[in-house]
Amino acid sequence: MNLSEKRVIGTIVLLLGLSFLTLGFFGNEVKYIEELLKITFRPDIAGLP
Amino acid sequence: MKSIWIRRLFQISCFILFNAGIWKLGPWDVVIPALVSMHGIAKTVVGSLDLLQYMLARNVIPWMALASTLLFAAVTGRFACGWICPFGFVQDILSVVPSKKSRISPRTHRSLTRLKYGVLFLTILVSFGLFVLSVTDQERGTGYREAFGTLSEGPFNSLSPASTAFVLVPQLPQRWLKISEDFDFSKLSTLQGTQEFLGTFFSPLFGLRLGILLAAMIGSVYVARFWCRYLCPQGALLALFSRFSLVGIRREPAKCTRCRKCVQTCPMAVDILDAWWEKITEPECITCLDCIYSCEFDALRLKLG
Repeated sequence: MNLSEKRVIGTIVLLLGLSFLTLGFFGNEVKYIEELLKITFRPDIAGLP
Repeated sequence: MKSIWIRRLFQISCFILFNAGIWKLGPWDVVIPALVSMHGIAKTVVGSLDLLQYMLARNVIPWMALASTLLFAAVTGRFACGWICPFGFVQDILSVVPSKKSRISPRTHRSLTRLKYGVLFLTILVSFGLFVLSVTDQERGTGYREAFGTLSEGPFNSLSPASTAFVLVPQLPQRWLKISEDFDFSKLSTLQGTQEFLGTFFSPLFGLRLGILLAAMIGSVYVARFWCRYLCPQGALLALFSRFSLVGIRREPAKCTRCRKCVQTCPMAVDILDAWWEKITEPECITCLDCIYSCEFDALRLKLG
């Protein structure tokens, strides 16, 4: 794969990332980030005696 | 040496910022593709793989987690692994410990690097499989989730050495103090009492997690970035797209003497001389820039675009 082909795919990946970000914002996914920031993720302490 | 100190300072700053909740700073709604599982009250940012598992467990498509991974990978490649990841930082510190560094043959190295894709595949398989099952057949999905227990919520985090080091171990002293209040230590003189003690203060999963953490840490003493090279699913997720990244390294064939100093310096054992000179964006490259600073002939430089 040459450099220009990689650039094209890189741009597609970037645009896909931006599209997902937009979908995330519109899907109000920020609330899950806020939730995860407030709690200790249960699997992180799995095995705690 | 200059590069190493700049990177170390950056890593330390990130480590402090990710735990800035201790000083009542943050939290910031930022998703970073690195192993940033931190203690609940201290953390200020979220890891994209943590968020991915958390959201799939709640039957939501994790657009934000995917977006963070794709955007970071498309722009900076695996920069997050080399400069931001707290567990990567821990491994860099451990690699300074004086020891006889192991040399892994290129063939074995190439085979071992595939392991991390296996770990990523298993993580996605469990998380995404249960997500699909829960969406299509709620009753069965719930049943499977109950059967999997904590593993269903975060299959990777339940065993992750980063979570063990930054979340589980810091909680142990407090937990042990609490348990010891009710434990009758006079029983320890008997075999049954000792068994009860071990059963109360340790669990098999805890032992397994501690074993994984110790293996990753000891491995890092002998092989630089052992966990990142061979087992990290977060790194594997970035590596899938990092070959298309905007940032890369260019090698000038006219200046390069093929002395292999860059290859020997690389913590991820990337064979820079074998890669296409125009722009090196190998999936294993963490953009640490150690190769650029190690080159005496100025043959390597950062390339954008």
